[in-house]
Amino acid sequence: MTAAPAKVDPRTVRVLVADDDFGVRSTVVQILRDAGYGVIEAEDGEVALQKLNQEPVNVLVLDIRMPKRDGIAVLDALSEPPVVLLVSAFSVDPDTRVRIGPKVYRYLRKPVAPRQLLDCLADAAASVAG
Amino acid sequence: MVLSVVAAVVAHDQNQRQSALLLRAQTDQAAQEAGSTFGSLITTVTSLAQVVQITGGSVSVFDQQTAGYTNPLAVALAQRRGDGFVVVAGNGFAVGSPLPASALPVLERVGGQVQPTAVVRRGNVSTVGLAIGPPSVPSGDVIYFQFTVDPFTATPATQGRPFQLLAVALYGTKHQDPRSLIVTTTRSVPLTGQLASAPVPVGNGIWTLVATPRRALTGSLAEATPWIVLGIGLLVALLLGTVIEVLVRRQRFARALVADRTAELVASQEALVRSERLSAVGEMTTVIGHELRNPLAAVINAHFLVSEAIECGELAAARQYMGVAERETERAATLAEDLTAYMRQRPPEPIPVRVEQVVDEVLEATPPPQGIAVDKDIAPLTAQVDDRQIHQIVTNLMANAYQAMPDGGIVKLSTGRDGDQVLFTVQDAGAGFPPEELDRVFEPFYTTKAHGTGLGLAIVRRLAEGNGGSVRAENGPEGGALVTVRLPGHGNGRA
Repeated sequence: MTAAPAKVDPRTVRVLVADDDFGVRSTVVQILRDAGYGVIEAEDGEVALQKLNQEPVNVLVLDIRMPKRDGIAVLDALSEPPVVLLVSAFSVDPDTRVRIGPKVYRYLRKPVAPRQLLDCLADAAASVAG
Repeated sequence: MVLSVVAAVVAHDQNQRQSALLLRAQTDQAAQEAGSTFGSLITTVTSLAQVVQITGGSVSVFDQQTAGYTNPLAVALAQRRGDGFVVVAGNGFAVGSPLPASALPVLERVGGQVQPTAVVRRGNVSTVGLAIGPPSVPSGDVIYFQFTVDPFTATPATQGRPFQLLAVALYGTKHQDPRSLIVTTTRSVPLTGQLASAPVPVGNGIWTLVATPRRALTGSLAEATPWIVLGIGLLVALLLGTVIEVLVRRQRFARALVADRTAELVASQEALVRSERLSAVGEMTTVIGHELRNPLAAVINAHFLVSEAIECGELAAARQYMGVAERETERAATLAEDLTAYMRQRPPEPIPVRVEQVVDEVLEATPPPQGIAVDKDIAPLTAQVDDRQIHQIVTNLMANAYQAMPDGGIVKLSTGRDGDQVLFTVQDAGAGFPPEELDRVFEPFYTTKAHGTGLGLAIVRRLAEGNGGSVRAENGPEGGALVTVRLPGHGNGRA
């Protein structure tokens, strides 16, 4: 795949996709794997936190609306989060944005075009390497 | 406004009081002057009375005694003759002539008793006829004591005063006994109102001279009374008016306050309802947005994967992703349908509907998925409901059960009756409802499933309640979700 102008080899980047929607999660995972990334997935916030504790993750693609713990709660629970791409159908309220702002690399609006997601991920991966 | 009126009334009252005091002084003074005028008269009368008493009514003595009283006094002795009086002696009247007719009405007016006196007027000159009758005069005899008083020229001090301003009366007793009235300058006897009186010694007795203002105390408190009454009345009216006005205003204010508060309450209530509605709409929109964006995102991703697969010539993968896209598109369509069903509330048109038929038709239209069997226990009952809506209810109940059983199993669908009512019971073999969230399962967008829209049971509740029924959720004895819908029946009670 040459779609993303990645400065970093995707195979060195581990991505966690946290989204409760099976259709979305499975297709996103497939797209990222096709692009060469190492991908793990989580269907809710708690599972996401578990996996973040268990395995090294460089980039977190995080959906906000999830059962058990939503994306915001996951961010609040992380003292040293990986590079975060926060995906949401709606804008985040200003207070929350101020609070979680430092932990978010980029905000993405659902539905995210696959090309845009790959570009962002490449940037994120580069920022990790840098 | 009220205060100024009070001040005006007080000022008016003070003026009236002053003029009243002034007039009282004038009255007293006039009474004294009248007294002095009468004084000389009374001296004469006294002596005459003594003469009469002494002589027993001797005309010769009378003539002798009264000889000097020619001016200003005209003195006459009159005697009753039949219905009239005849002058028997005196000055100024022809002896033997009847008492002047102008004097008679006055005499008659007091009942024919020849004890009061008349005022006889001749031109501008007032002639006071004084009759001294019983008790000091023998019955049948009258001393008609006539003298002339010119009130305008009588004395400088009393000029134009005494008998113009005053009414004067002389009583033969210490009290104003009408029967003892001797002389008066007014017809309205006895005198009343503002009186000034003085005792007059006559023989062994005391006569009383009484004077009163002719005009009824002009400017005095008495006259001011109507004004005071009017003023007080006005004041009272104003005060009353003010009180009433205050009360009315207070009432109006209270009403306005109540109206305001009510309006505020209504407004805040409306605002609350609106905000709740808005937040409900907002919540719904958020959920809809999220629910709809998920399948859309999945479809977009699937398309991306399909085109990638085609580029790489991996047709099997492409077909697989096409399947994903199809599935997600259907999901979006289902959501749209559920939303429409939920939002569009058609009023039910209840008709008798046979329950077995509904169940059969629903199962035929939406058969259980692979791995799921339906265990039916259907009684022959009739529900009084909207036909399409009961189909929707049963469809949703079944779909809900199917979705809760990804691993397959048996759904128990049974009907029964409670009185006339029809009961639908659907029990699945899924995980059941979280016990702590049993009261939330009918909320729109509440879902425990990965693929549900969260509208199925919400629609069931709306339709059931819309048809006069109810719905209840619990966990069955074997753990699955157990939903019971209760609907109005039609003639089942007789069965």
